[in-house]
Formats: sequence, structure tokens, C-alpha cells
Amino acid sequence: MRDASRPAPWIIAEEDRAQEVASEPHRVEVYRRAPAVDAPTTPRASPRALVFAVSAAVASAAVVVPVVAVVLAARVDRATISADVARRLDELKRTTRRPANVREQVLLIGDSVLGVADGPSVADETRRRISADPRGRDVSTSVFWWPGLLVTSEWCLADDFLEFDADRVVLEVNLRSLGAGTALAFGFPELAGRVRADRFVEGLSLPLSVSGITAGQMLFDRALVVTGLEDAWTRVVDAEARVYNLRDRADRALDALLAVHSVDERRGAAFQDGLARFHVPGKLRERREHVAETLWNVRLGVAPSYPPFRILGALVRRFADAGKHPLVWAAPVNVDHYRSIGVDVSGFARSVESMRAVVEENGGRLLDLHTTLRDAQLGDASDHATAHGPGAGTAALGAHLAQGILDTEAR
Amino acid sequence: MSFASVPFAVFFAAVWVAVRLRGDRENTSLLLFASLLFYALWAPSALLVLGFLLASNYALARNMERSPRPRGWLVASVVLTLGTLATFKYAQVAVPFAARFVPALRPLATDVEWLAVPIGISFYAFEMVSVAVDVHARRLPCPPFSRYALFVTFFPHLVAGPILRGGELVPQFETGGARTPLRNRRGLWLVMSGLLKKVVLSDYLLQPIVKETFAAPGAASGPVHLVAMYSFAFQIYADFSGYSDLARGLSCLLGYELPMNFEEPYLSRDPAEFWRRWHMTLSRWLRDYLYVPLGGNRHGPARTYLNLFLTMAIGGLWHGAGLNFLVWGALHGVFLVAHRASGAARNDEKRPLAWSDLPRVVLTFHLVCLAWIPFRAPTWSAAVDFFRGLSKVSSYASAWPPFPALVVALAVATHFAERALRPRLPAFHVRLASASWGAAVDGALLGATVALAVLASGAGTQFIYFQF
Repeated sequence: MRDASRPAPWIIAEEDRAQEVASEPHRVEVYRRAPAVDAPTTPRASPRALVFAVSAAVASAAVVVPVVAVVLAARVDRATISADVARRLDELKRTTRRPANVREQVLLIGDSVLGVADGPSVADETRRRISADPRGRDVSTSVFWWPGLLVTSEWCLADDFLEFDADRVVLEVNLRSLGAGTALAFGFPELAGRVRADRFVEGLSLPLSVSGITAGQMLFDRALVVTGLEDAWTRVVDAEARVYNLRDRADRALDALLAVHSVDERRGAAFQDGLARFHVPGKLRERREHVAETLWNVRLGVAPSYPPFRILGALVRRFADAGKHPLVWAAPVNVDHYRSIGVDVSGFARSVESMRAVVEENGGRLLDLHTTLRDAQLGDASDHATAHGPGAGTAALGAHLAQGILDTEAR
Repeated sequence: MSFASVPFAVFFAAVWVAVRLRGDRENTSLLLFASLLFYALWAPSALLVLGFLLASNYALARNMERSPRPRGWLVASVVLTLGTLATFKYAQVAVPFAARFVPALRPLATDVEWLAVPIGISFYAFEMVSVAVDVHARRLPCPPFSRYALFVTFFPHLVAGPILRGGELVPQFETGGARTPLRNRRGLWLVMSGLLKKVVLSDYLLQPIVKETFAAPGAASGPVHLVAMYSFAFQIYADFSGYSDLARGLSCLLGYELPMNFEEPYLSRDPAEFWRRWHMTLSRWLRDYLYVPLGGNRHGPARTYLNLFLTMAIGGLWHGAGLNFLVWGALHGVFLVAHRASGAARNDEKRPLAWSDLPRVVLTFHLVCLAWIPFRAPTWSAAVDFFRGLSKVSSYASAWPPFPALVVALAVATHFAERALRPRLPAFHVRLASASWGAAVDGALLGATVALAVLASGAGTQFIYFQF
């Protein structure tokens, strides 16, 4: 270590020289010993720091104010952010009250398979069937679903789910959502702020980083929640998401100015191309080439060690430990169609059996509904159930799910 | 924690304050702790791989220094380091392939899609090899463990380079760095440049058309493909050189110099010059530790061409196990061989650009752009579709996307501006240092840049080179 009272002897005389030398690609001994030089005379440090801070604040305001004004004036929309999921859940927690005469309150959690339909959804049908059954007269259900909700997000939100005054948790697992690519695309990593400190260690042992949930992310987002800065940060993220879409507005505005339609043309072409690549000609069913991308290794039959199952196991354990008697159901996949295009569907059954092992090992029960619906009962290539007609998929699935909920309660 | 994120800003501010509070004292322990914490906050489990390679390579380097026959220790170090690197980088391809023949590997084969490659392993593995080779060649004395560990893990360069050689950083650690006002200012300006390039230019402006076109290759018109190709060329440049600027700037703010990694590569006059200006620290690593040991240009033209080609193809595979990376590297190998065979090889990158150079610059740029297509395309068939889209000759009379084309023009202008401004900046910094309004200029630029970066970060894209 050098003598701190003396100027560093190795400092290169000129900063320019330092840059030049450091950029020389072939040189190993970069730093020569050279007499130190005094820095050029500068104004005193404290006023300089003040000037620096004030001018930084003024300049940042000069950028932020007009940009945000344009976003507001143009009413620029934005895509979904993690805060939307959290906000919806908070709202549901606030508004859900346990009816007085209810023996059992059930919380249904899932993704679009549970909630999306152009008629009564699977959640609606399940609720209807439960109340129609004599065993379910005094059973109440509440539902939380979000498009693309993954087991990683559910693990992050586990403590929020526990705050519902529910006796049981019924968790949908969509076989399509169990790949690393999906985890990356639908990660909602900011939900890590909902993970309480006592689960940090568990979080570090789970493969959450593929969803962008790192230890740093967990600490930062948790700090926002704990310090009450979550809302302020959400406003920043909201502004960011809208500013991002401002670029699209500029793209269209220039098109309009030049009287061309380049945005619509290229998006239209991409859409047509996407449809043609994804779908079997003339049908809303996916091509064989895309099965590997949408169903990942789950189609091959994965073992209980499969990383998303580890997260699922931790989630089920959390619910079981809290006395919520977790019931997990495997959502349907279009086995009829997969057979017709030559995909071996036996892998799905093996994957579901692995899932069963994980769920039961962690104190839950599994309801296997992955082969429940026929091709005609599925409305699109993403295996959402049909909502109309005599054999409506949502009604059939709701009936099976209601039956499963009531049967497992009775056991 | 990405450098262009608020959590990292908080982390860096804490480290910076701690370093400043220690004054001129040596900071090895403090910075080593900060660097390991930085890595652990990213991926705690990856710390095990890093720790294992650090400890074993250091032990091998010490033995190498003491042993009368150090070659065996060197071989062990290189095999261990590159073997670990290859295991992680190619497992997602190799394990499913092996599982076809070995049933016991099947559960592993399905789990492997979730395998997270330890972040930065490609970069720190190369640095470890570089130290091992330099210690073996007696170009570098083996430093104490703490300095060796800090050299490898120093957080500004840990996850995506620049790929350093021991002699560039270890001597600086010995003396504790130098936090001079000029170096601080340069650091600040590099950070600003990095944020603007990465967040505003790369993610916000250039990325959307690239993402859109490569998601449906062949669908849109020829001009859209052409603009998307140019956009990706500048996106990856702005992304990676922006990262490198941030790395160098943050390091300067802590008192240490890192080497340059980019020097306006798209203004190169030939493929050889391009590789002296693009990812410079990787190029020199490949040259010093692969091309030269393969024989370099010492065994006649045919062997030189083969060595050049192999070096670039292996450099392509360093990025990943895909055929696309191999093709990208091989294409650059072909360009370099053709350039050398043409007899045009001359080292004239120090000569200023002249108008007469324009045809060569344009040709080199387009060759590089064409090679980027397989690099960016998710599959080989997607790359072929992209080339097909690019060749829709009849659509070139119309269907140009004006806004993305304007963004490309802005990116080109930025490239020229960088070339023009870089030599003038040191003198300007000296002027700012002595001017009473210097702090106001610094503050205003930083405030505006950070505000712009925060507003534009809705794209939220990770640095492209983090995946390598």
C-alpha cells in the first residue's frame, strides 16, 4: 500500500494519455510510473456540488415535464405492468367479504383458462355448479385470474392469497405455462416486492431468475413495499410504459404526415404471417412445428425435479402449512388435436403424474383434467374452452372442477 | 442488476460513497466485497461456480509460478476453465442430444431448458485464461489472491467485459486507483453516453422494428427488412458499446481505468479494421490466445487463412452453441480471409477517414450487416426467411418505413458524431474543470440524461451480451 500522504506516483501525467494507453490493445504493462500532476484549479467543492445538484434537478425536470405532458395530452395507452396484477389483487382483497352463512370459502386462482370466455367462464360455471349441488349450498367462491399468470407470480403473491379469508385454495396449472420461455415472457418480476423477508431464502433456492426475479430485484421491490414507496414507483413505471408507446405514436404520426401506411402494412403482414405459421390451414389449431414452442418439455413427460414443479411444490407447501387445503388442477390441453397431428400425448400424462407427486408430497391434492375436453370443446389454438352450445367447454370443465372441489372437501 | 436500472444506481451510490470515505487508501477488500455482493444479488447460486473457478485457477497459477515445469499447470488451468465454460454454454444442446442414447440422462434433458448459464462466465473465464497464460509466460507475476479475485470479479466488467488482461488492472489495484477530478468527469460522461446509447438509442428507438421484423421474417416488404437489418446493426452496437461505456465510466468514478472496447466499428474500411474496432478486447484475446498459438501467419498463406477462419468460427461459437453463431463467425472468417488474400491488408486505421474511403466503408458495413442476420435470427430457417424478405426487389420502389428509417439515420449520425467528438473531449473536460460553470454543465447533462433514460426504459430490455 502506498503512503497516503504523498501523491500517487503512478498516476499518468495526462488524462488523455491515460485513455490512450488504456485503449492500446496489445499492451500488458499499461501503467508506467510517472510524477503526479495537480488537477487544474477548480472552484471549491461545496458550492460546486450544490450547483451540480441544482442544475441536475432543473434539467431532469425540463425533460420529464414536457414528455409527461405530451403523454397525458395524447392519452397514450400502455401495456400491462406488474402493478396492474397487484392492484387487481388488492382490490379483490378489499371487496371480498365472507358471507355470514357460509361454511366454506374457496379461492380459485388461475390464468385466462379460468377467466376468459365470450360467455360464462370456467370460473362462472364452477361457481354455478357448486351452488347447484346440495353439498355446495353453503360454499362460497371467489376468483382471482390474470392472463398468463404463472406459478412464479403465484409464488410471489402467496402471502397475499393467504390474506383472503378463504378456507381452501384451488390452483389452476396450465401445462402451456411451464416452459422457460413462458417464464421469461410473462414473468412480472416486480411482484417480487410481495415476497416477505421470511421467504427470501426459499426464493433464492428456486429457479425464479428465469422470470427476472433476482435477489437484487426481491430486495429492491420489497424495500419499495416496506417503505411505502410502491405507489410512487408504480407511477414511474406507469409513465415509462406510456412513454414507450409514444414511440409508436410518433411512427404513425410520421406516416400520416407523409400519407403512407407503413405501420399498418408491416403489422398486417406480420399478423398474417403469424397466423399462417402458427395455425393449421383453415383451423384455429396449432401446427405440429409449434408444439415444442408452446408445450415445452412438458409434452415429453417431465420428472418431479422439473424446475417449475419445484416452485409449485413450494407454493403448495405454503398453502398447506397455512391450513388452506390446496387443490391443484391441471388445465385441459387439446389431446385430440395433438393425436391428429402425430404428437405422442403420453408425455402429458407422465408430466401430470410428476406434478401429482410434487403436489401430494407438499400437502395438496391434484385433480387431473388435462384430457377432459374434446377438440370441439376448445375454442382456439391456446386451449381456451368454448362457452356456447350444448357441449360448451366451460360448462363441462366447470362441472368437473366443481365436482372435484366438492369431492375433495368431502374426503 | 443491470447497470441501467434504479436498483443498480442505489448499489453503486453506496459503493461510491464507501470508496470516497476511504480516501486514498487501498480498496481491494471493499471492492471485492462489493463485487461479490453485486454478483450474489444477481445469482447467488452462480457464485459457487465463480468461487470454484477462482480458487482452483489461483492455486494452479501459484503452482505455475513456482514449478520448474509450469506447462502442465497451464494446461490444467485452461482445460478446467474452458471445460466449465463449455459445460454450461453447450449443456442445453449437448444433454438432450446425449439423452437420446443414455436414458438415465432424460430427466436432466428436460430440466436443462431452465438451466441458467452463470452470468458473465464467458467473460471471466477468458480473463482467467489470460492471467494463466501471462503468468506462465512470465509476463505477469501472480498477484495476491485478493487482487486476483478482484481483477476477475471487479463488478464494472464482471458480467459483460471488457475482457481484461491482468497487467491492465492489477497494478491499479496495488496503488488503490486514482480519483482525480478529470477522471471523475470522464467517468460521468461515459456513464451518460452509455445510458443514452443503451436505453434511448438501442432499446427505445431501434429495438421495436428489429423485434417486429425478426418475429415474422420474410413477411414485410424488402425495405422494411433492409431498415430492420441496419437497425439491428446499430442496436447491438449501441447496446454493447453503451454497456462498455457504462462499465468504463463506473470504473473511472471508482478511480480505475478499463480499456476501450469499441471505436466506431461501422466506419471501418475493411473487415480487419472492423475487428480492431469492434469488441476490441475479445478480438485481441482471440488473436493472442487462439490465432497466434494456432500458428498465426508464421506458416505460409494457406495456414494463415485456415487459422483466421478457425479463429473466427470458434469466436462465433463462444457466443453460444447455435448454428447461427457458427455461421456468423464463419462468415467473418471468410471476409477476413478474402480481405487478406486480396492483398489489400494494411493497417491504416490511424489514418483519418477521407471521402475516398466511402466505398470501402459502405462495403464493409454491408458485409457486417449481412452477417448480423444469422446472428440475430432465432433459427437458421428464420435467417433464410429474412434473406428472402430482403430480396423482394419489386417492393423497393415503395413501402419504406419512414420513422424507423429516420432512426437509422440518427444512429448513423451518432456514429459519425462519436468519431468527431472523441478526440476533442479530453480538452473540453480540462476546460470544464477550470471553468466556474463546469459543474452546472455536468449537472444539467447528467440530470437530463438520467431523466431521459428513466422515461425511456419502458422497453426494459436486458443487455444483449449478458446472454453470452
